[in-house]
Amino acid sequence: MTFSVRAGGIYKLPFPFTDLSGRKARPALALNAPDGQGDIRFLFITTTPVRGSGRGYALEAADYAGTPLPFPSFLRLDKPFLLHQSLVIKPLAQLNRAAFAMVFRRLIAAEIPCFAELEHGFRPFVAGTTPIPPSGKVIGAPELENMVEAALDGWLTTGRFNEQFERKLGAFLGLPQVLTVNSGSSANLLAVSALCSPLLGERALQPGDEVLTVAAGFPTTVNPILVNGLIPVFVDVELGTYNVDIAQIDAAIGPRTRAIMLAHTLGNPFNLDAITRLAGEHGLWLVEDCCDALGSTWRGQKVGTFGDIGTLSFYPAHHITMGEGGAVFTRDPLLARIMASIRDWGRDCWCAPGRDNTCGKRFDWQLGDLPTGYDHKYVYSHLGYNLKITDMQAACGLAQLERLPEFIAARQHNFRFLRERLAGLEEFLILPEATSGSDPSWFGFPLTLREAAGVNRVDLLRYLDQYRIGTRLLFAGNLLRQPYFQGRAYRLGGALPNTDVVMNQTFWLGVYPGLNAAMLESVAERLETFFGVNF
Amino acid sequence: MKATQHVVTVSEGGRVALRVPQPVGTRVRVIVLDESDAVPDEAMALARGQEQSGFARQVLADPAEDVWNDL
Repeated sequence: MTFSVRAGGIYKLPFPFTDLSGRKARPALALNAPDGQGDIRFLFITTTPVRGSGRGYALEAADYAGTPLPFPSFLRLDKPFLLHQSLVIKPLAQLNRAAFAMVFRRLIAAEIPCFAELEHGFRPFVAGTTPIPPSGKVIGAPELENMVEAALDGWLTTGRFNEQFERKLGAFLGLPQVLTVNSGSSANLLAVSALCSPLLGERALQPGDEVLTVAAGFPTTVNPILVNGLIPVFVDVELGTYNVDIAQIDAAIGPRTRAIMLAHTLGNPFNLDAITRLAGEHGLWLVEDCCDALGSTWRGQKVGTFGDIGTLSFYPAHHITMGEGGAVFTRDPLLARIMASIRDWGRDCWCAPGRDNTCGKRFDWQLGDLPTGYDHKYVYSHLGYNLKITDMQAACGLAQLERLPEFIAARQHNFRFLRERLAGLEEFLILPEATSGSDPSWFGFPLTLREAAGVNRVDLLRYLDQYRIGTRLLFAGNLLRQPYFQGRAYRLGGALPNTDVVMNQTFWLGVYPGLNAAMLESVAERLETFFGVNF
Repeated sequence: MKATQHVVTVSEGGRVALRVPQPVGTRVRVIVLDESDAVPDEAMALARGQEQSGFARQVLADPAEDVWNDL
């Protein structure tokens, strides 16, 4: 043999492989140079087209380093052969580096569906044995394929998948300005911090300004108010919807009240007619925390698009996931620019990661007390952080976005199932109600034990837990009772009796798309048994 | 007819002698390979198994793929 076999080379091999007469031959791509035993993994090339990216790869002239094969050439990815180097007759062509890398990407991706089915596929449900979690991720081959693809890119930081994710999420929401961040909590931090930007002039929030909110919720809806030196003003919630009590919020407004920051509780929109009217009348900023409400609508319009800024979370419990992650969105270009700055270290420059001189004036600016021409890349106009996501996260989120309509439908279906199935327990439990005018994309199924039920919540939760039925409290219950809140500055916009009821009597069950009818029926039966109904 | 393999040494004048069981007058195909280029028996066994795969027999064996023979 007067040549050596190289990875990426296309070689002529006898066919049948053991017929050394040279009468027939077929071309094949060597995936490796001969190993210690002289063996080589080959992919054969046929003139017959192959359907499916996991099965075939159509070679084009641009894929070759040098002269291409003279006939239409389709690599058979799904039929690898292991043959000895001594069978090789002669070299025919050579793939270039990019094409050879693409072949490996396809080969790696081709194995993923089988793995995904094994690891993330359907598992039979056994009542009392199989866990029924209150929330969880639903991922499969598309998410794994995207994440592997992003990992193979080796770009690691925010990149091409993130660009696609932000664009597609924006299309879903109907807003052009979407920025990903590394969590829903970061999204809330970014939103409130942006409202404190000096670029907003007199409209910027100042330390000591007040923000209307509720105490029955997740702490990181309120924490950004505190860390920015603002004062949360707490208003009580309604039982059933678990949203702010509209009847009380007007009275809570004081001379320093400048903003409203509220979550759509467990996916159930708060009354956006009333809140947007209030914000408009009093010139208040409105931040909609939609971390639990992606896809919920108010009079047909997506929540998060009514206020100045909306926020989202992509933690595994949420409507779509990327592991850790979140997003902020707005229709205001100035707010978008401010949030991008604070997200990206507080820098004045808006170049994407790995890019330089997008403004064309990188060495021409004079800002602050810095010398003229100080590299714009290192000029900071805000107190910022690094809240960006990796491209692997974005890749997962991108695949999840494709499934979002199906996820929302499943959540709504599961909610309706439980709502109808548990109707007989209203004597013991306050059942959840969608806010009138809304169509929630439910995060969970909240329930409040009536005092007349004569039952301790912890006893019920322990009972459900022994049958592996997961429950969650409505997060912090009453935030003011949490250890970390002692000594914090805040104002009460009225008494909070319902917030205390939430803390003591409320919990929620799962409706996430990983739950099926058998699981939900099992939940309903256990609750009926506990209360002695249909028992 | 079953193929047989013989390893012999070339004599002066490039002559080799083979003793074969076929009757006189039978035409046989003789392929000459340098022993150093010969395919090891294990490699042939590995190749033989794979040429019986469905893909080899149904796709690679398709006469349409004979366009590659003369490259």
